[in-house]
Amino acid sequence: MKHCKRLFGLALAVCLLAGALSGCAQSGGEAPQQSAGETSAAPAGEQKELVIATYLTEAEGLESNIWYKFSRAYEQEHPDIKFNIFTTDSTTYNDKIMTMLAGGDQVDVFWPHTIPMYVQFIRNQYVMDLGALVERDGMDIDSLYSGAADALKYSDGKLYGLPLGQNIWMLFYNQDLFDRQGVEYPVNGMTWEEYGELMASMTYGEGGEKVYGGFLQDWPAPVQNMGIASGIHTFVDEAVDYSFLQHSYELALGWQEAGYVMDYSIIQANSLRYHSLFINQNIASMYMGSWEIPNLINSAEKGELNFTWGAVQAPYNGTEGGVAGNAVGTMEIVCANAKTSYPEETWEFVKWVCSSDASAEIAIANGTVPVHVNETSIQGLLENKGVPEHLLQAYEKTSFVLETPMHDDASFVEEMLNEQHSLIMTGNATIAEGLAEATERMKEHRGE
Amino acid sequence: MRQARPAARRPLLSRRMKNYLIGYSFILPNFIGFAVLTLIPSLVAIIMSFCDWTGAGFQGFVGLRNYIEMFGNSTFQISIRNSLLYALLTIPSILVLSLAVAVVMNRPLKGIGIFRAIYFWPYVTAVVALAAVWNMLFNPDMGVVNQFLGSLGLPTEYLPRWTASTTWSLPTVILAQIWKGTGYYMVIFLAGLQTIPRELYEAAEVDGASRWKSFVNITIPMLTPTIFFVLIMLTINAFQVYEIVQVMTAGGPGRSSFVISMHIYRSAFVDNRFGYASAVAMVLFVIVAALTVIQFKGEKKWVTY
Repeated sequence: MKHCKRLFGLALAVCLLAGALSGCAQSGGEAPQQSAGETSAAPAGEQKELVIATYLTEAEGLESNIWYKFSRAYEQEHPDIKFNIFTTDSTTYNDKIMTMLAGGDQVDVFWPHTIPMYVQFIRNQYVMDLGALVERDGMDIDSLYSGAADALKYSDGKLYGLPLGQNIWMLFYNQDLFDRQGVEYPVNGMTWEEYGELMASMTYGEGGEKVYGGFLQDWPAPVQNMGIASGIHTFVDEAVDYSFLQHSYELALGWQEAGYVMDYSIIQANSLRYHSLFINQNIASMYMGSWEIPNLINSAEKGELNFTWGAVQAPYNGTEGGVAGNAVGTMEIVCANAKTSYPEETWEFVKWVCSSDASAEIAIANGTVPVHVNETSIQGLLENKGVPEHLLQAYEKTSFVLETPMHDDASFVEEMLNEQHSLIMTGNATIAEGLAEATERMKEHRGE
Repeated sequence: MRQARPAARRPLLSRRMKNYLIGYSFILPNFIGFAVLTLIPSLVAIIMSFCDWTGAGFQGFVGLRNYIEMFGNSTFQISIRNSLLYALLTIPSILVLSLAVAVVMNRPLKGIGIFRAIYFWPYVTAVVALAAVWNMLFNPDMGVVNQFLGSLGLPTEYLPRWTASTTWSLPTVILAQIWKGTGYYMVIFLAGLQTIPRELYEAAEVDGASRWKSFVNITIPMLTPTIFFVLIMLTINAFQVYEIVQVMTAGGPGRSSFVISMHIYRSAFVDNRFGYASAVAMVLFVIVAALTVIQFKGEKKWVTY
């Protein structure tokens, strides 16, 4: 009996040990792990499931998301492919995808929406070399994207993503509020100083009833873009000196002090977001990226929009060599996981999203202007609900620069400039101090 | 023919050996869990700290380069300074406050359980919700705190800008952490207080000792093991603080409330410099280990069991 007990003890221990070890073996395996509800690699002929990772903005549900629409349309044409859409919110998208890729989770298609994020994916070797496939399939990307893909080539000369949408910063305004105050609408070709005067005449009311003439989201971009739009400077210049942003900050702080735009610390402390403030008519105008257009269409469709909106070109920095039509923007880049279990299927889908007429039509109907669209089909944008007839004038530009160009320092610069921005906007550092520190930090980063 | 009696089979393992094996088999499952989830990753982190290890994996050994770079990195210097300041202010504050609350709560009053629960409440509140409320209270322009201070007659320009100020951002987080952490340590102190025999207090009372004297000469010495435990836990937690800072200030404005664990997180998971992040984690480990060892060394001098 005693002997039996011992044997039982040993057997139990062995079982536990084996269980623990098998657990280890699973977690240490090479095969990509999958998100909940996904199937493993299917034999040829069976349905293959690809995972798209995207984020949802505050205005959209899954079904109004562009990737949902792309995937449903593609599934209809390709019955052997099924998509699973993984969603996050926009603020955690970057970190979440990065962690999933590092952990070997199944994510086949994802879209870095900023250059720093795209560079991070490349440096970590998470993304497929699409340039090689472009060449293999004989795609003429120069004419397809009018040269936009060149801006996405990494320092090794390879292309790791295809451009989907090119967002540009523009000036949105609430026509009804302008009408009510009897103020002329903003127009193309204003300088920032002229826009400041317009904000002044559109700022009225007190307390909870106050309407702000303009709005600068608490990101660095709305302020710093004023300094880079002319293309004279970038954030990753060889000779580091961020004092070129002095004038932009003087303007922004001036507006903030005068109360034309909401205080930076109030926006931060209350996590206020541009779209809600705009549709709730707390702000008469805002300088924002064209990604707001799909949000406005969504809100119009949901019946949340009780006014007519308009949009014009962003104002330009006339005092520092800028000209009307200087545009700053971002690129929505579509990438494929370098370790996907379905490289061919993933590439075919990425190619379809970034080059087909069908995808362009979906994007346009969603309010996004894809890079591969032609001049005539862009008119389709105006058919969306609530879109003003004159919207296309806001897209007119004489030059275009990316917020941050392709550079290995891109993500450091983004983070550092964000920190310096918060110091200046909260009055914890003067403009000169904040920018001098930014210069120093960049030099430190480069080991100068 | 008489068959030979088979020789007694020698057991495969001696009795002593079997006992050892059975003993070890009981701790084995836990040890495997510890080894796989804690020990091995820690050892790997030590190795990684001497490597250039990016999101793409191992890029080569770099010797002490990560460490040299770290000590010259201004963000590292700032985050170490902030972490030390955070520890210096939270540890004694929570220790004293939770002990005081525990002493007050250790009375046989009607409904005392409700009060104890109220003090414990912040501890079980989600940090994100807590931070949202604190950010509202401490909003420099519209928050209740500044409105109250203003009503006392303090001129607006002298009111602290709390999380919007480089001077006040870290203290604001510290205040929130003290409020949140006190209840938990109060419960630990309460447990400690209840182990002190009543007879000691009765004897002191008979001898005419005042309440303060009883507190200093009975309560404190009898509580030293608990105080020691709380001190160790507070020290470790103070250097590991992350979430409350992240949700209240995200390290800002600028880098004014950036703490060491945020530097590790950002280096590893945002910049994907796992080697460098491991080196910073090693420094954090050494700091916490050194402080813990010092406390254990000093234990004999003041802790009575």
